[in-house]
Amino acid sequence: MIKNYSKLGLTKKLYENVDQKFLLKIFDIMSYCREFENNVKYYKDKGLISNLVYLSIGQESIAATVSCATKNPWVLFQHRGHSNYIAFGGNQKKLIDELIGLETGSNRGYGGSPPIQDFNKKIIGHSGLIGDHVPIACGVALKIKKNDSVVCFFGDGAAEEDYVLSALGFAGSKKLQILFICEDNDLSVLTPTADRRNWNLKDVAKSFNIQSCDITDDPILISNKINLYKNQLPALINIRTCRDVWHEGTGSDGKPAWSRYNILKKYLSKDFLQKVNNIEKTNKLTMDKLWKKRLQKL
Amino acid sequence: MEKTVAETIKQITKNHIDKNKGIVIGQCLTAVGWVQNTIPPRKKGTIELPMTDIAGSGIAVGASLIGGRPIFVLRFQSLLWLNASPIVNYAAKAKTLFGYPAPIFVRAIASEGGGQGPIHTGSFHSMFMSVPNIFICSPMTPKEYKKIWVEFMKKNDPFLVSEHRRSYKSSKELDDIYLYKKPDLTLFGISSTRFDCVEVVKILKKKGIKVNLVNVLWLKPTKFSKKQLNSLRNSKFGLVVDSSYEICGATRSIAYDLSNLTEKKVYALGAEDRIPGAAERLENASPTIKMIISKIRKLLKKTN
Repeated sequence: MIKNYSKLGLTKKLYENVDQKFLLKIFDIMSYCREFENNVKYYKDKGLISNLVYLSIGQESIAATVSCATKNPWVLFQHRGHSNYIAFGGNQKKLIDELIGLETGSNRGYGGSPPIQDFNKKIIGHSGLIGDHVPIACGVALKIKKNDSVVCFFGDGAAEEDYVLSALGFAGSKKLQILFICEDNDLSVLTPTADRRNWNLKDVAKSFNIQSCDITDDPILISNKINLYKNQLPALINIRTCRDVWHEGTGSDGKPAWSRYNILKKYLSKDFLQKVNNIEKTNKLTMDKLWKKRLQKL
Repeated sequence: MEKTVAETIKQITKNHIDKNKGIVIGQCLTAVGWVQNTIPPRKKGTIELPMTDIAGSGIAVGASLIGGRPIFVLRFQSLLWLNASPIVNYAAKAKTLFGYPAPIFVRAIASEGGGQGPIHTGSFHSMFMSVPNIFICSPMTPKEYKKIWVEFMKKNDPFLVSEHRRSYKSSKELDDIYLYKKPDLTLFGISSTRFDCVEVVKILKKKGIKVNLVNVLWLKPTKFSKKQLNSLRNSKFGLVVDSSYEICGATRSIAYDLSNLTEKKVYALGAEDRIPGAAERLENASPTIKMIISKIRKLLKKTN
């Protein structure tokens, strides 16, 4: 687990002029995504979901913030993508149906958790092989319209795939309109990054002439960096985050180094306690109801 | 003057770029020779990839999702091994898994001889034949090339086009040959072996061995006309010949299908089950005329 995250750019100064409405919006999406995942966890444990599931609990702030800080891009992500799918407007009914294996699912029951897609919302599916969507994202960027862009999420494990590194090189050479987001939870299945490599992605991206930085999953940091890079694409943001559950399934590897959800909730509760409580309550009710309704189709 | 296969490919590519806003994408496309004169010599619509196999085909597949129907060029079929994953795991699965298509036209160029040995010798379309949802063909003539291009533009699927350098300078059409009502055998030629099969028919005619010849353009799905199947039904046996490895390959698979369709014995002849070497004595490529005739003689002996 990451121990020195305080060195990755999280400073009090950043919070002095924060638009708190923006933070509330992000918290709302995070809470909504978390309630979705809580339901997946609940029904997986009850045996109503037989597919493999890759939960994004703990990492929601990245999807929530990137979706708020970008303008309707094409989006590609890999497994652990439920929050990305929801934050970028993917059809939630179809997502639930997919997880429970119905014909009405986002992939007609063929994919389960990793390959979820919603092409109408510009969300492109993943084959399930980690990182192989990164070159595909570059191909998409070759053919998009002038003012369009691509956001490509991947993990710290995928970053080590040879084809991901080659794709970064291609994006840098061709000046593609792509924002790469590495959701760095420091684990490939359960193997820490330090046991796998001695380089960091920020430096690699820089060597490919890609603007890059290495930060934590603090929403203010993420949105500031996106604003900084939006006219300088391609860019890469390596975002340190904490996976709260197993690589696959619903178990726990122990207490994470930090919980961005709790940190943000605590911060916002100082001034907006009632609003924060309402957000959580409403999202839980909405999501529980949605799940119950979809499960009736089983 | 009739256009050669290479000129036909070049013309198709040019029209695709000009009229369909298509792209041609690959490594070293703009180098000397423009891929054996099959790429229009200009930059418009041509995307030069870095020397990045795997990622390269992923980039081409990605482009196919947004439109433009990319023509993805692999200068040697040996590079198919590296580039296979995005074609097999993404493009072929796209319609089923995601509900949207990935129409990519993969030009995989086979070559052999000239000291290429273990590096670039051979055709490797067989490995793709075991993957669902890929159309696989091996055009050897200008008309065939035009035909498969029209099919590609009609469909929304990935195509693997197993080309062979040997065909590029040829402008002739290769028609099926039905010389006999009751032939000794019907020969099914695939890829560059088709040029040799024509010669085999002529040579064996002089020796009194009756051979009809069927040209196999579509490897997957295979398509055989009544006339082609009837020729086999009226033969003592069939023989499928191809440039790729015989073991677990196109020849055996198609021979099995033909056998099931006609209840005739159908044999296979492809490259041998050994690594090719650079020295001439170690080459292992398409069966030669001599090898095909030798195989036919052995089979005739066995049958008689």
